[in-house]
Amino acid sequence: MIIELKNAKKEYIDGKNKSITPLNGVNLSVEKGEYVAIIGPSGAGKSTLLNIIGCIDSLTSGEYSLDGKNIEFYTKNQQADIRNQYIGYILQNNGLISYRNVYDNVAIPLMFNKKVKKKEYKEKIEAALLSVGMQDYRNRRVNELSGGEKQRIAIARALVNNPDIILADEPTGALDIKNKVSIVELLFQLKSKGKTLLMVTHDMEIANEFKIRYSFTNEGVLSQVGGTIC
Amino acid sequence: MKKLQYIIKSFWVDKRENLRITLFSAVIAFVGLFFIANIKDIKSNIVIFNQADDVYFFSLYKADVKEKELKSKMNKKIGKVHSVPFVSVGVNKEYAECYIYDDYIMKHLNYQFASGREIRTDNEVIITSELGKKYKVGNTFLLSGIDEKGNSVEKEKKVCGILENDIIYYPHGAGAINYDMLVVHAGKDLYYKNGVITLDNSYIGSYVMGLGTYMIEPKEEFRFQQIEQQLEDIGELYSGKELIETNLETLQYDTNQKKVFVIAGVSLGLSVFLGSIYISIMRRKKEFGVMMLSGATFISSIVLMRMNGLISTCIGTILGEIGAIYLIKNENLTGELHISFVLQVFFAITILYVLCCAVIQWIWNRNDIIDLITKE
Repeated sequence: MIIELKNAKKEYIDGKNKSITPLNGVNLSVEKGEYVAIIGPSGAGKSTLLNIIGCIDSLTSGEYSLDGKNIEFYTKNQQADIRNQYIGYILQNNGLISYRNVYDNVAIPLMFNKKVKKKEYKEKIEAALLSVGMQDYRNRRVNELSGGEKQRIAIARALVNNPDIILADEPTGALDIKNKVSIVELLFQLKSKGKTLLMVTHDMEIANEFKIRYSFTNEGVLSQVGGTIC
Repeated sequence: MKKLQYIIKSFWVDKRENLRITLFSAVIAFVGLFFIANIKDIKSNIVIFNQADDVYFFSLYKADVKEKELKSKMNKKIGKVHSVPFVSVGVNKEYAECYIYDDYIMKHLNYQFASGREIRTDNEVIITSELGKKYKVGNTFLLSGIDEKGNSVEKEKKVCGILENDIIYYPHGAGAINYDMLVVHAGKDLYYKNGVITLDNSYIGSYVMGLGTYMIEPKEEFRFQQIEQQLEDIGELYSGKELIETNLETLQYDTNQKKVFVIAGVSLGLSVFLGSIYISIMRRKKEFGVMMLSGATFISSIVLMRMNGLISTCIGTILGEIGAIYLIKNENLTGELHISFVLQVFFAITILYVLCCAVIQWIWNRNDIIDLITKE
């Protein structure tokens, strides 16, 4: 299992002093190379789950193992390394820095990858841009691009360190139909490269493209609604 | 190299903030260095010695250069309250201000001894309590300076007294330039004309009122009326008492004025300086979140994002210090410069920048990474 959550619980107190439990005993197992869709109503805990898997949030109780190793035992710096080398994150709002150019945006994860040599730096950025068909946009400012183009750059940034896992949090949420289809196609192309994809989506049309689907209830409970039951 | 490129490009991203940071770190450095050179140095680390041994100490200036400078300024400055730098000496290779021992002034200003006594011989010195932390009564140290011909001079001096004060207002700076000037002496009173002071049969140089320092021949004596008659076409005469009180007031007034200037300058500089750091950090919140999401640690993100501001701070500080050095050296203002002052100001401002960045980041950018990324 590349990703395994056992009885994962996340609890926090909101601004009104009310206890919120977005994850309530979640069990999830994902094999390497699997494509998984996570669906559910707003505020059900989909993004929280992705944040836990992406090592940018921690569990209140339960266990999360990445590639067989319990994340709890990693230091913050080691978790930063995991985010850098094993996980690529794609966000709904693309998370690009608008005042920097495409090249600089894609380069950000590489700056923190100690395994990448200087001479490989440019080559890796070019390869990532080529994989999303944006090789001619390297010097363009992000704020000059369309929504679909920005999302492609966000995917290139997620791929530049060649991570095993891609986490996509509603990557098509802000796109028109044409761009939505092209982004989903792009993400599905990654399957041939052996990537594991977890995608949070509202869109049932897109979710139906996935063989494995999990659905959240408002009580923070996750259950499989499609594909092989783990 | 890749990080360096990113930092260089960040200069453009933060261009407005960097410009403000550079400008106002220059203001803080200018005011700060001016403050240290003008207030700190005349208030502590002071040696009072007897100059009757004909040694003229100028640790920063050669006597002939100083004489020429003072002569050129004398005519323009007469009658104006305008001081020139107090001279300094080396005490065992450390920097110290120096004043000439003057029994009349010491008693008039009521400076008390914490230990020891007044000066009785030429190789004895009195020190203020700040230096008293390092030297005790009976200790000896090497007093070093440059003589009137520009040669290095070293003399062994023995501490005979330590003052209770670490801050003293002393109307005279040390040092003497040998002009053929009048001796002014009338009984117990001191008389003064354009920087000339005499006390009994000794001589004293005065830097007060922006005038040259004069050596008074100890043997000659004049009556007050005679002197007044001789000098009436040149200017007014003051008694020693008047001179001390006037100069003391001037010194205190100057010090208070400088404090107001420093507080105003540093407050203005700091508020814009800190404001610019804050704006820059908040504006680049999303970038910070993206870096964290992409595998940067909190510290490495700060270093990468704030380095351009740190460089701007260093540039601004250096420019401000150059301005302060120029003003102190060329505008004939009170103050002594020492490399340690320049370094103190430089490091204080750069450390202030680093601390501010760390605190602002820690308070406002410690949130959920996703929360940071979603904020433009």
